[in-house]
Amino acid sequence: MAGAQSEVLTPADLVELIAAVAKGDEAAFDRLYAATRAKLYGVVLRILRRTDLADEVMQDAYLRIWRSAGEFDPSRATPITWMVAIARNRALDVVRKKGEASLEEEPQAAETASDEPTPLARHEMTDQLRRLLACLGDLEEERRRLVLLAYYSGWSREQLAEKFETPVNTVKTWLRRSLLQIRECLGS
Amino acid sequence: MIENPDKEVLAAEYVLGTLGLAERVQVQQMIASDSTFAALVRDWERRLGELNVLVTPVEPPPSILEWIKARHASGDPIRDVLVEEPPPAAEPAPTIVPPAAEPATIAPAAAMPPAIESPSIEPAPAPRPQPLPPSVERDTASSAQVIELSRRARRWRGTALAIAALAAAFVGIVVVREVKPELMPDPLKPRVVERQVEVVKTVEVPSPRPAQYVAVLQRDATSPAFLLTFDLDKRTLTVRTVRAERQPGKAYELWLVSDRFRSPRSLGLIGNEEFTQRPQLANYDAVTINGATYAVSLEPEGGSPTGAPTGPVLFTGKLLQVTPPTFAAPSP
Repeated sequence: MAGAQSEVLTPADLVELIAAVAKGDEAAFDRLYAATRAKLYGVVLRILRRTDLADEVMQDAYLRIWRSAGEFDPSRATPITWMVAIARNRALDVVRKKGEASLEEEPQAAETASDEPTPLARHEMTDQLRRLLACLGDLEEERRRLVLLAYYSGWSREQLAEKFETPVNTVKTWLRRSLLQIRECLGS
Repeated sequence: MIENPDKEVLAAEYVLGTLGLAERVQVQQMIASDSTFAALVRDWERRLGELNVLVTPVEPPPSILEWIKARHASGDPIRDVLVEEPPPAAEPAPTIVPPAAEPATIAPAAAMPPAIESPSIEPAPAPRPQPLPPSVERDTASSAQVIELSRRARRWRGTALAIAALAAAFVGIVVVREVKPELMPDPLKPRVVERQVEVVKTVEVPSPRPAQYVAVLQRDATSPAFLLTFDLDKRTLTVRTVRAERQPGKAYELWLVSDRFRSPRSLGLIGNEEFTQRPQLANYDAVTINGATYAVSLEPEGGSPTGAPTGPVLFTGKLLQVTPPTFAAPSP
């Protein structure tokens, strides 16, 4: 139900739930939603920074998850990376669509707030995450920040250029080299 | 090894989110048409998607699940935000979340956990007033106000959804075909004012003009009543005030509520004169106009200060189509 507490589900549980959702099991959708809503909302809210937009994106994202559950391939993605990708894509579409006119205000505004750091327990880390972080750790400090800022805040090259006080073409070059380096480092 | 670095980087940047609008559209077309490229994107989604673990979860409002289910049940399509949605009449911004700072630094692998800081976001909305000072102090009173606004917006959407089933219970709805606006209200007016139940009536006047539609917004016989005439051809809207008491310092504002939009769109204030003509519908397509719910709220003089309804919602109503628009000849 709507107010159900988030369960702690393993990736294998989520795979099963998605398979059940694909067969039209609404109760499975409820459980899937309960288990993942806060993570996806955190992801899209961070990019959109407006709850009204985030609410809308959540609806669209979960509708898509519901309707394309049959297309989920557990050999190619984990349930949560698949769902996060759907939600992020939607959020990025919305933020690009609305953001063209107001690019300039965002980077400055983003510096006014500070995060409450939340330590991440070691056991929460997947092997894949560890490897990715190791590869990110190989990047130069500034480029690592660039990649992470782009991922978490959904910033465009132009916004990153402003933030890093560097030409857009430089950002483009940095991104290209960093992403290719990550790709080489991960090897798969 | 990397076979095509250009495509690899394009796929990665798409997933990372650094591409602009035009490039995103282009990449989405490539994903749809090129399965090799689609696989590159999927692989990057898997690689970078691991970073979600560092995002602090934020509990969404409970109403979202109801909305998802309602939209799923109704077969509501998921619109492509990159190509659709007409320009907003008034950009509503009921809530603004304080911007997040950049994600915390990640130490090099050797010295990594357990000190990784998670990027987090403050879920509470910030006060709306525009001149946001660089160091925003949280003003709880303003925050509460904004939360209230956002709640209101959600309530409005709830209203829009429920209306398909409930509209007839609250308002009289009259659908008229081929009526000249200036002729329309008179034959209908007595019935509308007298009867509290739904009125569905078809009036045909010989005319080569395409169909026009009318919605009557009235709660009961003693409350204010408005007749809305839509000319879908010219996309104009005429509001006739049948009966509405003027309240000092207040104004009636007309809204279009559609699940295509995130919040109600203002169609302008209803003037003091008997007829108010509005060209605002030019921004909306016929499907939206036909499917929308129309609502009147009581707002401060000059209209809603926020671009979204703030006052009590007096009426809501939908257009009902009882005759096919292609109907050619009047009945005998």
